Amino acid sequence: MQTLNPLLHIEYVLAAEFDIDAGPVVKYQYPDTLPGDEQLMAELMLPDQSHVRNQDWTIFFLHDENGLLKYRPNDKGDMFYVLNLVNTKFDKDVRRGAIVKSMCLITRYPYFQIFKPVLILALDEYFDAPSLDCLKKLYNSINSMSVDRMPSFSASEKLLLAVSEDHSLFAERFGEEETASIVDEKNAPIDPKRNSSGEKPTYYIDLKNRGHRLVSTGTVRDTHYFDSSLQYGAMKIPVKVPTAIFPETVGDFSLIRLLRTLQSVKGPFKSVHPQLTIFGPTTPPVIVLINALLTQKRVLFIGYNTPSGDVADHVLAACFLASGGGILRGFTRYAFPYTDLSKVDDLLETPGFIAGAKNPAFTHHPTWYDVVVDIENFTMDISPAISSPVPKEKDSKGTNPLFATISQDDMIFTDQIKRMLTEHYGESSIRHRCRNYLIRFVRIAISYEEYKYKQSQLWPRKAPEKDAGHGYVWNSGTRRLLDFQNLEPVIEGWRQSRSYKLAAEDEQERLTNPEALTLDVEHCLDKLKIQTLNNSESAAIYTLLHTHVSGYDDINTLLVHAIDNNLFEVALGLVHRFPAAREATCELLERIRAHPAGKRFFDRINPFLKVTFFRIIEDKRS
Amino acid sequence: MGNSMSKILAKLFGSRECRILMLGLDAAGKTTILYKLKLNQGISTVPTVGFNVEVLTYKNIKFNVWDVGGQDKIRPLWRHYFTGTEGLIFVVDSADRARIDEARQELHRIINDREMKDVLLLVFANKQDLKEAMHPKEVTEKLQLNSLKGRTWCVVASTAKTGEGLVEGLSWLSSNLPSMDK
Repeated sequence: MQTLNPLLHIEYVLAAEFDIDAGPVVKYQYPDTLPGDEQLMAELMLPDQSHVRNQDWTIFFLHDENGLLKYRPNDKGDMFYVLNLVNTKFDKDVRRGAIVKSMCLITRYPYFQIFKPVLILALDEYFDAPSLDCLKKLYNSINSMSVDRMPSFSASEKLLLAVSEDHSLFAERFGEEETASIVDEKNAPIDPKRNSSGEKPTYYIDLKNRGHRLVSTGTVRDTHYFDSSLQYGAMKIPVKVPTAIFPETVGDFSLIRLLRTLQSVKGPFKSVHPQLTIFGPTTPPVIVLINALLTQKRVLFIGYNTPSGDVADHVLAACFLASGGGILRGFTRYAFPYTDLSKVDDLLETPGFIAGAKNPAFTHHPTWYDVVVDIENFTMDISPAISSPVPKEKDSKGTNPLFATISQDDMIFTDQIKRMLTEHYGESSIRHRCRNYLIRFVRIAISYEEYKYKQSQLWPRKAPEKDAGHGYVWNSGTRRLLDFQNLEPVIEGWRQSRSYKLAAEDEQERLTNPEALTLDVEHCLDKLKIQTLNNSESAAIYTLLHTHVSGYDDINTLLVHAIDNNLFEVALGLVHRFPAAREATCELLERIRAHPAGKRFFDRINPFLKVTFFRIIEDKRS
Repeated sequence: MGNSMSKILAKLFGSRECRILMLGLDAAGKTTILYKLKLNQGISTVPTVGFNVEVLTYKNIKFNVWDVGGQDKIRPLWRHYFTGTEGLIFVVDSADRARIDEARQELHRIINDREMKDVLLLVFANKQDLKEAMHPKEVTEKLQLNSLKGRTWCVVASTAKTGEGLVEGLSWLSSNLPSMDK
């Protein structure tokens, strides 16, 4: 997880070069020799085909194993990210015509991309005069970056930041030092303790009354980033540190790019696998990829003429796709954003991986992978070692079970993605859409497990009240069974995977927090949205929300799930037929209004409903 | 019947494909050979980091030629390219007498691998334009090719820069490749 006041931003700097006689060698290391395999580092720092391009970024990970940094992943050890830049300078006057040198930094930050500009400068200087001093300068420059005033966001805040495009959300948390001390005052705790008496929460800070201004006027600031800077020699380089970071969101990949690649894949699949091509050979490639990741297959991205940085971006985007960015975890730890033949033994020791390589020779070995995506030729294949060939059409009598029709939700998902890509939607909207797809999968899995096994490890929470309900919400029983039927192979495969185990562990961990919300807010909102409810049913939901959503984090959670329609379903309770439901909704909205982030949502509520809100308040007063 | 028939079929229905691996010590001229054959022009090459792969078509045969870097430290990676390889082109710098023994050791190590037991072996005695270049016969002796049992091999004198000998080598490969058989 993100360290707030780390002692070091980067741990090591290394420089390597392609020695024309010996091959890849590490030349310098700072501040110490890396506890690990030097030859391995040299090979990874000089990616395949560095000799055909001037510049290439590479990303790979190292894993702490008893004090040694290993390429092979393990379950528990600390993870380090390596950002590497390789430059090739062609020069007729040097022996054999080119010099290939690279420099990398090793950090615990999954947002290492912020160091790209300074690494470019450092490698440039190193090319002119290679010495240990160049590495030292880079190391000291980065490690003197100040992030002291960067706010530390709670899990619920981060999630809300991640799904929101509001640039001023939580701006109050970016206080000047003076204000920050007020926040820490005991009588005004920001600490999200639930108000035991169930009354209106009293923990928020009324800034106006205190006379403090948190954000100085004229500062345009996006609260998704913390502005800092690096002093590199005489240069001051601005740096934007992301604030809503999840361990599975690594680097500055483009999910759009991955989805475009998948969209260009020429179908149908030549062979099928029950957990992957769940709708037969014409299953959309994006669905096959998600299924492969969830069921822990070995997924390989290959791009021969593509810079290794682009290959790595596909891998990192795939990690996001599988994790939903903060929903599931256990993917990046077993990812190899860039790998080459020299590391194939480590790769093959890893059960289920997401890897990127430039060398098409990987595809000569069908036992090395389960699914391979060629990001240049737009092909996607399931290894013949695990799949069965699609029967010839003449064999089928029109009712081939392999040619199942795609489910409605998956059709909508793939169509929407297609449309969003054509209409040039932004990265965050696309990520949001994919996150929702993954959330849907997890929620269906909960319902499926309870249907089939009578209980789900993914929902060990005790219901806060009888009939509170949880899990996915369908509008018909048939759709529910159809979804179970379609997803059964994927869910069963997922149940055997690392990410499932981690998700179950996270839920257990949640139980130890007595303040954690036990109500499935999303389930409540979905019922209001999707199902046709009678008055007492809907009133019951408004009462549930009113009773249970009260703490600071609870409201963040509610906002996360109500973001798409900006609290519309909640606010509709203001015009409910039952006075009790109207009052409960009004009180809930008052809490939301008093919440710093909630206020921003409240302000954008449908004006008609807002008028109703104020009328109810006035009626209460009189 | 099988052989001649499949040859005719191959002619009628497109070309046969085969995978060729090109190895040799660093600076032997592998990449220059590859691009001379591919583009029919001499390009100035730089040391190969990793590999190059190109498709060459000759006499209806599509050769997928893999050219893999030859520096000492990366030679252990050669083995990963063996699977499915039908022909080995081993390139020797005929003027590098100091390392011809090293070249012999590497060559024998490669062809003794189980996965390489059936591959055709073409040796380019390269850099014949250099004054001190060894005659192909001497290269054959120094590489101890006559000691090879049950191997189809051929040494071709070549000069990659001018292209001399390259087509002859490819021609030898194409006529000695086993035909496509089902």
